[in-house]
Amino acid sequence: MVLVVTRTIGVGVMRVAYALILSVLIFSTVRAEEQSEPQPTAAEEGEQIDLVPYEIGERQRPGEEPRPTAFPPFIYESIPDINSSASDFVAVPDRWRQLYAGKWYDPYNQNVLKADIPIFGDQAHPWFFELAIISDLSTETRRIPVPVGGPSTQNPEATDIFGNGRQFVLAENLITSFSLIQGNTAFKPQDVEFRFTPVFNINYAHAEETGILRVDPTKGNERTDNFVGLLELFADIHLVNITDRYDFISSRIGVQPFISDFRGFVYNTSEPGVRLFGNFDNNKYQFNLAYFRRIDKDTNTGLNTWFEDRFEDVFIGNIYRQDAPVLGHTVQANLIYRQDTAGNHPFDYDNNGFLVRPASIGDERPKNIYSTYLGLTGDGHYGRLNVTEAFYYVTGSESHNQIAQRQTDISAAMAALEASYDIDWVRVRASFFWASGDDDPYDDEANGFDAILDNPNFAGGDISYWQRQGIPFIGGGLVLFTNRNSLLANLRPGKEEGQSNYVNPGLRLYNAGVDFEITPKLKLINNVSYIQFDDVSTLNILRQDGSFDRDLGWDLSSGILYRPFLNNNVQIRAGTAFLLPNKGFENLFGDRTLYQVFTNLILQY
Amino acid sequence: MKFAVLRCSRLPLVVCFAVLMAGCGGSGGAGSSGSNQKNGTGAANFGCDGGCPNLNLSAAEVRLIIAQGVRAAQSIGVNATFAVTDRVGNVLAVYQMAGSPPTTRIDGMLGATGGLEGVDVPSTLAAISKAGTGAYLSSQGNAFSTRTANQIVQEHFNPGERNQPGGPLFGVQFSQLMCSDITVLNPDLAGGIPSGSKVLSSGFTGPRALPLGLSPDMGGIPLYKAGDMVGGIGVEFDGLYRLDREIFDFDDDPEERVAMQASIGYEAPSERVASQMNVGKSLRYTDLEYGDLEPLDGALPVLDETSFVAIPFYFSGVVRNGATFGDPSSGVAKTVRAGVPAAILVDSSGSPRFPTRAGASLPNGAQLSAAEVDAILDSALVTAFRARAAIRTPRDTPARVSIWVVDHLGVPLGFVRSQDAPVFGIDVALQKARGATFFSSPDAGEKLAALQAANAVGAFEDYVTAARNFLGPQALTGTHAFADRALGNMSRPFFPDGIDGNINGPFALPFPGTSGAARTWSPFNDGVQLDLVFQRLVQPLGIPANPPASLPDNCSDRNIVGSRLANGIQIFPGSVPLYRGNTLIGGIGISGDGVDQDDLVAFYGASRRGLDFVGHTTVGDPQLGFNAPIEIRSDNIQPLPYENVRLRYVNCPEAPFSGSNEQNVCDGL
Repeated sequence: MVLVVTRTIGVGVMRVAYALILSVLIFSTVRAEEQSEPQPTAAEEGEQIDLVPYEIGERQRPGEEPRPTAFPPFIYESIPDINSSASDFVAVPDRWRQLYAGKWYDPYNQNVLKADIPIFGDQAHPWFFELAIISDLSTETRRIPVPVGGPSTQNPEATDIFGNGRQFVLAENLITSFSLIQGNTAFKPQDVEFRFTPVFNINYAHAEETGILRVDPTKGNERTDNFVGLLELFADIHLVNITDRYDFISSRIGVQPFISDFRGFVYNTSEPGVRLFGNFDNNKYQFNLAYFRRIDKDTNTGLNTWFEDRFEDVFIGNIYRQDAPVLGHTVQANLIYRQDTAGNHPFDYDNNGFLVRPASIGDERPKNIYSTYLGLTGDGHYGRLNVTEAFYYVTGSESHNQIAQRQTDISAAMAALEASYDIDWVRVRASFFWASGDDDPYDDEANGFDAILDNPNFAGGDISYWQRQGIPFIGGGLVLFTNRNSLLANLRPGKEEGQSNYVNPGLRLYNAGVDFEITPKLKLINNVSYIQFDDVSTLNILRQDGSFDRDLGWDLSSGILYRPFLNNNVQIRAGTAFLLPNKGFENLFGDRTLYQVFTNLILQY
Repeated sequence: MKFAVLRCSRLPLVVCFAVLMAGCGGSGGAGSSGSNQKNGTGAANFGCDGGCPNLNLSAAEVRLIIAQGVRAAQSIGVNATFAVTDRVGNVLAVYQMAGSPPTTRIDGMLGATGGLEGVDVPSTLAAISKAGTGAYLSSQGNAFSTRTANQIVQEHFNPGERNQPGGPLFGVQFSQLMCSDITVLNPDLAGGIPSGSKVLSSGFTGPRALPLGLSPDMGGIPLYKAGDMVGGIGVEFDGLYRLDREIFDFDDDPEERVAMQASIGYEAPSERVASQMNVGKSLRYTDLEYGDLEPLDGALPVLDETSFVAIPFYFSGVVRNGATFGDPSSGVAKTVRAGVPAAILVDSSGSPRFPTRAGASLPNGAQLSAAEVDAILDSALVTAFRARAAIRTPRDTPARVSIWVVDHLGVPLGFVRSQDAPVFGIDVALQKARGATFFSSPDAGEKLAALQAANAVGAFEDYVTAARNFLGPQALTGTHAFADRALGNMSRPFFPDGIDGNINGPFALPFPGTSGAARTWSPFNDGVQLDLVFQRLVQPLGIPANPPASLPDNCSDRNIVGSRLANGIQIFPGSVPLYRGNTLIGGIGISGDGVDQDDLVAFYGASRRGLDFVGHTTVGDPQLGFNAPIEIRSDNIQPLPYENVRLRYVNCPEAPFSGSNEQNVCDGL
């Protein structure tokens, strides 16, 4: 019973401390109100001390104060088996264990590992544990443009700058998530959650040229790497319910995923930070207020390192309004401020020995970035027409852009629009994406749009070649012409470790697609995109070639999603895509058709 | 301060430096201005792309420029030494303010020992090399400074970026030497010093020698008039002839500042400066901007006539007009070849110095005929004309290069250059042609060993053994064809090039701090390239304080290697050896544009495809033209000390030809 008191006080202290951390004074008041309502007074607690703990099978009765209990050990055998003839009249230990008898490996029935049954706490404050395990095994065969090695080549007769771009990549991500949850989550948000999600990655890559996978050609053209990364490590604490319908304010501190908008155009990653979120007006409005201090990513896995500083702060405030302007459509207003001061901490090399900060392009001088994104996005449907929209304007400054070789004022924009229509089992889709390009790389304005860390799901997503592949900017600088899982041609040395670059050619992408829900288990996704640069001026100066053409080429992709058991426990994704170069791309990397074939086996517990 | 060359005889000499001096009072170039101004100048842009009329500097203009420099030096409280040259290296003035440090100390700033490291040289010679560097590296299409040179000769490009290969013009500092058989000295200025068989010409005939070669020390920039590149100015006063190892800041380098202020009115057009050019990285021109400079207030000082310093072979003491480049009197005469604007080298009478000729006899008549030499020159010149320039603006104008063909004994068989190509390439292209030819020769190892043995100083490493340990016991016996790119791979302080912590290539010296070696690598002590020419490079450096008894006319020992290394070698890309069947018959060397473009012009120019393009369909091998058999090229040598590693042969650039998206144009040549 002393323990109970300690715990109660402990929670109180924790909440107070937490509120202080947030430094949101107004919420202190709210919290006080909250405490005054459901929390027992000291006197009540005093009475509670005399209450007799529940026996196994004994239940809390209506109107009765909850009494402390020790949950029985979660031995499945102790739970009556629904199939057992002896179960008909057996008392169940508590309300979480009636009727069902689960097995630890069965996530579909009551399972102590899936937060269905408390593991400790009392009836009023049960703590649940949730374990999730996801195995994501992927293979990819591709051809991307690559340079032959500079100081050395893999093969003789390498007389030109372009090498053999065939590559194979195998990667296994084992994502394990451990959550400790307090609160009855059936009808309202949880009260407290602690979550820890490490990711165990092992990856293998094979290239045909040296100097691609690692800067040192003596290390050859194969690489096996592994990393244990940090996907999540946070405490989620429900601060207050502000209406009877569970409009709430909640908070989350620690390493947490966050997506800036419906499709992840500007910020989509998991970083340490503090976030206040909630809803109001019967959930018509939702909001986020967040601050993240980014940690650096591991080079070959993209996973979070263990708190190596990326020297970048991101402040996000957004608000969603449901059913606007029509029923079934949500709009979001977004304000994001980012301050990247990695320029104060040069020089940073990635694990493969390549310089990532500052970018090895232009005059290569370090830079800081101070940029503000103003966004208006939407998602939903107008009648039967599904739409998603996004518009971002970014302003601010780069203390020194390497390509412009000077301080720049950022002024760039991005727009995306997708419309789709379902005809029975067929969905037809059209979309357009625009990122502004820079028209004068040497002036003091940077007009090329770049994100903070994008990972968009748009126009075919990672099934398409253009979005999925990272292509080195051969002959123009030691950066990526376009980054992996990004639509932007942003000339950035990796979107994770590299800094944003607002002097770039921008992009226009026109997409049409059709998806077939062939069976409930099998979906076929097809896309055609025509891609152009928005402005080739940056390419003209970086490649010392004034003849660049706007037309980049065609991207044709097709993929399947197969869910043999109609659930997400087993998913098979596979796809292939081709990039057919047009003049603009030929000038950069040649006219050879590029391709990718990938497979993805996702097993989830 | 004293710089002395102790001579023992007229023979290849033991050269000793009595480095007695101290207290040069180097002020260094520290301090970042924090400028974020756009690089460039305030000068008008005339849109010259190589076709503008050539002008010259008048003596009055030279005096104005120096007076501005003196005023600038006074404004920051220093006494400086100035030199002004024209585009072909004629020294138009050397002016040493009273109190200017008489010598400057060569320092690679990385703690290396040996070679030129720590040597004190006269400030006047340093100023001449700086002025000449500004002039020699630049053209109507590009303005490069000594800061540009600094950026492109170090062990990484950019300097300071780990694991990246060496500078694209790694080794270019050791060119334009007095010992070169190409550079021309003025007999009128000999000052009684016998010049041996050195090429002489009065008047303006260039290209003239630069005493320290090309300079990577800040304070040398080109001069322009109406968009034409007419010369360069060099400023020396900080007592250090040094590298800038930290290029990611903005230096307020006082020598650079004074040079820029001196050049006002003659500064480079802002669209032509190095920072407008990207070769994977943008090049540096100056860290300061003209807009950062305070206006020179007050009247310009009256120049002290006694401060003009006469220097034997360089300057008479009397300010003179500069040459008009392209006029035959400049030594570089315009012509047209294969329908392309071109130029050749002429003597003071206007006669071609290097008319096309056949190579020295080889068994089975394998030597190059004059017609074949002409065909190769045509092909290379047209290849350059088709190629998109990498280091010029406006973009998409033709690459402009100097082209030499030599025979298997390094004797020049023919020369041509694109009009407005930078002048430094004249000497460098020949160094490249000779380097590739010499190291591909059957007796390369033997001759190298003989040069080493004849070197009384002993500061000549055993490169033959090193190369054989590296490449196998048969190395340097003609088994393989080495292009200059491969020589470069082997001449870097790290192998493979740029990978920090690895051992040095067999033709380089260990990087300081990586071994206990007595001689360590720096751009002023870079291995076989310097050791081959070291004695004859330093011998004339006694000028003017201790003029040598005579001048060398050949950078290497003529008794051992004849003309084969007469102006030294070059160790950055841009040449291939030429073959008939398996017989080495010579080499072709290219210099003046990006190194990949230089490779392209050499390799494609010598190839079947290049020859056919200009209609020379019957000369050379039906498949290979004059290129080496594929199986003997250096990229076939295996194994090397590291797995997965090969020497390069050539590397042709991306989308090289103007008006075409064609890629991989050198495939299979």
